[in-house]
Amino acid sequence: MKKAACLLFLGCQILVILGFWGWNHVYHPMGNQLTGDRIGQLLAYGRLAGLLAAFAILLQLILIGRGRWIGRTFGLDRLTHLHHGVGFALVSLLLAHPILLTFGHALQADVSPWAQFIDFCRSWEDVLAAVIGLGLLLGAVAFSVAVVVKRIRYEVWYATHLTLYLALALAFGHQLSVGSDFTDNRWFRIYWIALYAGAFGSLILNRGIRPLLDFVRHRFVVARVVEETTDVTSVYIEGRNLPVFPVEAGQFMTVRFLAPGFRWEAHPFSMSCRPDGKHLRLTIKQLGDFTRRIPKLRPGTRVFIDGPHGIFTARHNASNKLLLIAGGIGITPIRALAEEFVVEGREVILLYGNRNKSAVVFEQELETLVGSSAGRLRVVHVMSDDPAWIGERGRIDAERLARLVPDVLLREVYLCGPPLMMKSVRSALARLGVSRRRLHDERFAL
Amino acid sequence: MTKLRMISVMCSIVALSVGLAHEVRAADAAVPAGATPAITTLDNLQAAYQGESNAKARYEAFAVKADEEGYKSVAALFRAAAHSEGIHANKHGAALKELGVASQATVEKPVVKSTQDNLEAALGGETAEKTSMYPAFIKQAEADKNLGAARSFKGAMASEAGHVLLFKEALGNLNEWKAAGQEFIVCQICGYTAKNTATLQKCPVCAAPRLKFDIFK
Repeated sequence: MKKAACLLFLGCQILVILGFWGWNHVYHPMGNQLTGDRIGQLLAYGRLAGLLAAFAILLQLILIGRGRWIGRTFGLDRLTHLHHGVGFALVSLLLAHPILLTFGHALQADVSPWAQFIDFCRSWEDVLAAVIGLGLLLGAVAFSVAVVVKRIRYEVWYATHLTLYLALALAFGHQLSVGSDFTDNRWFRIYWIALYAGAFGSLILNRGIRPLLDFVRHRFVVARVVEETTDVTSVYIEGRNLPVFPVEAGQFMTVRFLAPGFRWEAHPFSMSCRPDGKHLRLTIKQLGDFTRRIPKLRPGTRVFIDGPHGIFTARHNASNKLLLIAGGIGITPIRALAEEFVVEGREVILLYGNRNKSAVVFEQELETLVGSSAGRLRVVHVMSDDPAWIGERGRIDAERLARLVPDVLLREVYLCGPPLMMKSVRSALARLGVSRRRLHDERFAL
Repeated sequence: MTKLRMISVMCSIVALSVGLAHEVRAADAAVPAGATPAITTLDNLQAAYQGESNAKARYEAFAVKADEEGYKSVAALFRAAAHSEGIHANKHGAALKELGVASQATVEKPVVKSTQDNLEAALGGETAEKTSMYPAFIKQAEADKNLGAARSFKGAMASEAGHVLLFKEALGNLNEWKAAGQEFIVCQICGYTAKNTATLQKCPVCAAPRLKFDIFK
């Protein structure tokens, strides 16, 4: 219902934009531009591309704005993945807008497209700034492609992505000063400014004001740093009034440690234990430059937390029987969920895949949890590359799932792990007939 | 794969724009086969070129007369309108050139009377152009699929509508328009004419920015 309302609202905004644009171009002083000559059409559709590109950019701000309501409705991981998809699709609109308008105005003024482009930059208010903004936007998209294919470091990508705010500021001016749809229609102008105010207001509220209030209210601080394996570390965070901090097992938060070497980067990490009102625990694998420095964190370091986020929680479960599947460091939210479900009195099977035994995190904790669960929790370790392992060896595939979890169709499934592992497990579950509705997963990788 | 898709989309957009631009020029240059329609649009273009060229000369003479009679603001309006008509004549001339015909006009000596009479004459001419002449020309050009001529006529008609409003206002406030002070803008691209106000940042007809306005006062 909430999803439908969100999509309806989104659809209405697009209809409003199309409505204003259509009105402006049908009742144009030069006659109906949509059915008129090609110059009129080039200009009309060039403007439409610009309007839709700007709207998609505002949508991007909402998608990564970490709004709690929208995050709980769709899942922040899905919103983030949609953000990536929309970002790449935006390229065509961002290019169509200047190209169509350059050709349209060049024909109208009877000059070459190049002369028209130079004229745009020299004589049209704020257009040069918008061209620079467009360059930054396209550059950020190129860096996003590079980070997806692992050509650049995450930190470099993050820095380039921040320039997008400058790009938006540079591009905003020309919309109101030379955008015909707004200069000729006061109501469209008011609506457009309201859209920007709403998108940026949401961003500032959710990514600025709310975390700042939490920081002041809870005064988060690193309590201790514990080595779990050779490359996995747990960070325990304490703070004031933690019982009222609204975190659930399975959720994650974007964390910034306020210490030299850490303060300029914020990264998302999952809670690895059930919230107990005394501390939060983040368990972090050393995968990059930032995470390799985590063991050097000192107790007493203050922590700025944006979150919690995510719908990978027990709240969305409707079954008494559960199957939890973790791959590698994907165990962190699964570990917290296992404890939560055991406390709720549900019957849980946890399949935990790793390359070899030395990569297993929380081995002792899981054994303790099994011991205290009165038979409600069973943990099965699966090693993909450990000849010495005497238990399950290989991948978590359909055959293994059917053998280890014969009643899999009666269970809700929670899945977290590396992207390739999740893809293969999803298809194995589908082959076994597990409905997509009974599968909960969270995708963190870009 | 993603990069390839993006490059493909970019190429499509450029190809679309180039294709549309070429189509416009090709359509403009095409002389439709058959008997009369193409000739009629050609006649219309020549008539419009003749009319705009004479209107330019007439308004320049009216501006001199208005200055002599002390109607400073009316003189500014006539100069602005003359400039606008010159732009329309050039547009029609370019459309004629696309058809391979050189633009030629016989500019007659204007009949200049009092400023009030001149305003009434100008209003009558502009009204006729706006309500009957250009609508008929546009209809014919569209029937002939001569998009360049149709656009030229539409641009002129949109401007003439502005002239009608301004001439009406001047006639209704002739005494107030004696003093200097009224300023008018003329769009260099399409000839749109209006009072110069701070809120007018763009041409409502062709979307040209304020820097493309010539100011008359």
